[in-house]
Amino acid sequence: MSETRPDTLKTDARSAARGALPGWISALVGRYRPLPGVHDEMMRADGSLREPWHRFHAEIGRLGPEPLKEAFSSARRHLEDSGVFYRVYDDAQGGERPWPLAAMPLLIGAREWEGLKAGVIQRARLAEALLKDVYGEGRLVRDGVLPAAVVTGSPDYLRPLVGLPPPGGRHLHLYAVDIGRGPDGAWWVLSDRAQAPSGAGYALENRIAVSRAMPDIARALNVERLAPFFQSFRDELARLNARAEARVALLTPGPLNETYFEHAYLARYLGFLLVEGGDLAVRDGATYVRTVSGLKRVDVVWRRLDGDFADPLELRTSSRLGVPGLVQAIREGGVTVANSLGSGVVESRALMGFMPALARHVLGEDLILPNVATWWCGQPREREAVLAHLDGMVVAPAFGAHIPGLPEFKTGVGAGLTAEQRRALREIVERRGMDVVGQEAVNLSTMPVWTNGVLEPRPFVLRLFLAAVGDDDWTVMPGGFCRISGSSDARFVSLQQGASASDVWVLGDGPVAETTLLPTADRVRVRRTTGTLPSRAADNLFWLARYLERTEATLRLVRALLGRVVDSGVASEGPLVERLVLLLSRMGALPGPARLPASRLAMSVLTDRTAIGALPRLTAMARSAAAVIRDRLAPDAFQAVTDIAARFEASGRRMTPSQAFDETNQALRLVAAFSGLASENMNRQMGWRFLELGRRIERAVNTSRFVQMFGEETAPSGALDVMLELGDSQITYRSRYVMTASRVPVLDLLVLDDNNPRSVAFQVGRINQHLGELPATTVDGRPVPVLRASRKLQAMLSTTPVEDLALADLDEIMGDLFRLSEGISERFFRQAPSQDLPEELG
Amino acid sequence: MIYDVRQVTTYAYTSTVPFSRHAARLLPVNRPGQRVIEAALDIDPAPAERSDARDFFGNRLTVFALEQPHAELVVSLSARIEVQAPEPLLASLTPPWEAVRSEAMASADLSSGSPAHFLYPSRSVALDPAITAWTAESFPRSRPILEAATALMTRIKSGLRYQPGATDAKTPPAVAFAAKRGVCQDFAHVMIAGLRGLGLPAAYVSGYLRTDPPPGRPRLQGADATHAWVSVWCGEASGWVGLDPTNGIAAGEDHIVLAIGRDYADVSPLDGVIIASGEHSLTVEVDVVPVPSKPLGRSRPATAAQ
Repeated sequence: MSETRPDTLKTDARSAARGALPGWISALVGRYRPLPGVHDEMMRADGSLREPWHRFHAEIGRLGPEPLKEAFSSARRHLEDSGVFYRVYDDAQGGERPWPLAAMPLLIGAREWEGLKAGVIQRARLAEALLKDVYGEGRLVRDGVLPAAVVTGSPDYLRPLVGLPPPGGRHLHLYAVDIGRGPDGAWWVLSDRAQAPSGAGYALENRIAVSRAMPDIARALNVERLAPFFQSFRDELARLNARAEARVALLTPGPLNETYFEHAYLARYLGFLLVEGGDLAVRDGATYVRTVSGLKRVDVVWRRLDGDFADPLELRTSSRLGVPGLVQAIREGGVTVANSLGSGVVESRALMGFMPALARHVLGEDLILPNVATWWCGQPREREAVLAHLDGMVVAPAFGAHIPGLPEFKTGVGAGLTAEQRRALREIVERRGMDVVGQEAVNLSTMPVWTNGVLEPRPFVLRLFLAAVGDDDWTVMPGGFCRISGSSDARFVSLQQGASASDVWVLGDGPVAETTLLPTADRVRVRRTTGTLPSRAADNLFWLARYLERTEATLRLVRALLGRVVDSGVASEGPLVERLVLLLSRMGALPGPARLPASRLAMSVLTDRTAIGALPRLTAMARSAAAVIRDRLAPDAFQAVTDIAARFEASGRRMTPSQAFDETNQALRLVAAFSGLASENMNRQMGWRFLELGRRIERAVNTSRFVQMFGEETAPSGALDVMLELGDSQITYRSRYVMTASRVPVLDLLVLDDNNPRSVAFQVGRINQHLGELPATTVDGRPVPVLRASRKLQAMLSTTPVEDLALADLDEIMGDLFRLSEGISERFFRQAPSQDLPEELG
Repeated sequence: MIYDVRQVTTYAYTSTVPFSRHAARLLPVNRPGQRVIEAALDIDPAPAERSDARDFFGNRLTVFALEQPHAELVVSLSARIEVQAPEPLLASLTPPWEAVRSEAMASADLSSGSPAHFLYPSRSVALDPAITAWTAESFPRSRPILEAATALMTRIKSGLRYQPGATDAKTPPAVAFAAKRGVCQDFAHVMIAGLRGLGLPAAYVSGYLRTDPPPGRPRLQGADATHAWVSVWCGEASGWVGLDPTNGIAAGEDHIVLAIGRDYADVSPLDGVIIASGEHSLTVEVDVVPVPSKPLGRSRPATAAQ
């Protein structure tokens, strides 16, 4: 009997632990096998479940397998629909791919969370104190706690900032720590993120996706909410920005940055102004944002670009991303930059070796949360230790991503090195030991990941976020950004390497108060100001609208062309077809001389990637413009633009004329969907006016083109019908004139009739109206030139009798429209590129 | 020796520039062995904003912005500076170079004079394995630092050809080294890259040479423009020593220091970001004339030395 006892016990533990679970979930969990020798978040070595996971499985067990699967895929869909993308740098296309969501959240119990919180708050206090010292008195170095070379080796030690106390008093406003759990079950700090930590926005998106997919479960488990964290972060920055005319600015490197989505998303969520370096200007030691209403003061800049890039004048001179003079503005106390420029110095690996001693020296405390044991090879004893115990060490750059002069060096475990590599490493360490650290090799714990209906253990790294509150306090986001490795063996996890992410649930002891920053009807503050519209955003809204309107016009031309080909069944080269082709060619939609049969030409407009006016390029330009102003578009509207561009992206497609016809119709519906979303869902603020201006100008130009091409007295028969079709005015015409198309009424309808929403006069009327509503279009009661020009055009259109309208007049109208567009650029967007001066030689 | 220094930097633009912002490091400061008797920086057109401060390394930094449209910017320095040649060090008595390296890595000084700032690669000086390996030939085990550094300087002087126009302000040292040619900036960068490659602190010095040599001495390379050389840290006891690899000599009474930094990027005399399109051209005129310290009658005739 006694021989079987241990087994019985084990079985008992397993089944007892899962006893309360419904059968299907018990079976699912029963098949889960943690990796040998690795701590697993969900399951103990004896197969029993750890506490928070038991509660979690009991809850999802109640759902049943199918609803759970549905919930998981709905969460994934939510992320796809909201456009959560992560830009992949090494992708030749500069492409974006969806952020893969691992649907199972990581669970952290209340008691464990309290310990983590205390640990990371202590670390944030230490980081802040370190920054204050190395940019201030340098006492830690003088006292011998920290070698000077540990500070000076960091590329983020920005010397122009030394001796400048940060306005507002704090260096760090948002701080992040990457942690992992070792085999003994204790959490370790793996790295610090003090420069411009990313991931908080993704954490929020993941939370929204998962909690919408299983709201009852999140509530039943008392999952702590994230919103209060963001609220206090926002309030803190807003407090520092209180005197400014514009909102807090979020400074992004732009849409090419890998985490641009997050910048746009957070700007929208927190109500910050998304700006690029070119949007900001420094005058007399203060910072301003260039807006359509002139320069507006900004006192707080939350930067998401590396400190070194923030000022091309005093920092990295080659930077195209920064704001010339920003350091001077900081020097004069005119702007708070969060986090302070140069705060990245506390991220270096070399520093980790000194953290335990620094904590004791600075705070008089031991580290609550240890960091990975690190030996900086700039010290003789540490250097010897690393060389002597190479097999058990990870050898890594002491600062940044590379060991200077050795771009090919890869961070790796000493044991994996060949004899030759070992010799080279020894030489490096002996010559320039200060560039190298040895770190203890850490095995990360695993968590369950749902893969094709099975749970599998995967290693992960958890990023926790802290926001500064008041003068010396911190609040921790109850949750975090959890990055999961793609394979079961990973000592190193990178976002760029195919990992997925999951939501992180901190399970409270009691019910959790509901807070959200998402705008819902009763939470939005009533505010009717027109807000601040940066010139660059206005410029992109204007061009987004122009490109889409041009897309529509081009699609109509293609449809008219195909209609004539499909109807007759043969590629008729009749005079109407010739004119359609000529018009397409004038609009730059055809790659070369128009010689092919008309059906092939129509297809080339849909697929050719070289012609600037063909749909692939046109829609890609619309998407680029939209990407830059993602924070200002409703997610659905942005999605519509992406969908349109995606439709024409695939290369080498072959279609029959009737397939092409269908394709064109579908694309036209998408364009209409965008217009609808934009006009219905965008409030009538300045941004909307620029979108409108772009659309109206482009439509007026295109309608003029159509009329000019098909409106001659000698035009071939059927030309008036084509004109009505292109101008989308058949129905209006028929409802007004019960007869076949005749020239004068058609011209009137398309050019002069300001009741027809497709006519030139209607567009000009709208342009006038919008210009009149924009700021500073009158000076001392007199209209500025651009407004005067549009009023003059409107007067001309409203006083010309249709009988006197000559087609030559359309040339003049188009000329006026182009000048109007120029005038708008000049008045509202003009932002000549700044450039570096050449430098002299010594 | 007392010098009158004049440097006129002119930017000419093909189209008017409505707004520009600049940072100049063109005003000399007092340093050991150098006293600024007077110095003034004139900016034309007059800037709308101007602030004078010290940068991290102690150089004078003049930040200014021009708000009136201009087609030309002229920045003129005129200064009178007294230079004393440093006490010569006995190279053989300086510490072994390995000891200097250990001392620098362990430095407990974060101020701007600390060797710790000059140990690492910097913006214009990346480390290059080829330069490091070549430099190592002058650094056999335990050789006194100044002896080794002087030998390195001499090798650079004879190994690289002084050729204006062969490189530009952004040429990395590895490229100049491979091409074996360049101007004083490249000579200095190559030497700094080599020293740092071995873990030794080296600084970049910008300044001037006297335009016309003293009687009987050859005219030095780089005398008609701004010049650059290297300062090598020789340990706490010996301190920093200036070596001019372009001319193969120690920095002495003819070397007038304008600014010190880790490399050219730290001390670039005039940086600017302008809002404009179009071309621009740059001219720099430098004039360095000794001020006779004694009545003319008592100076030695020019021919006496021969």
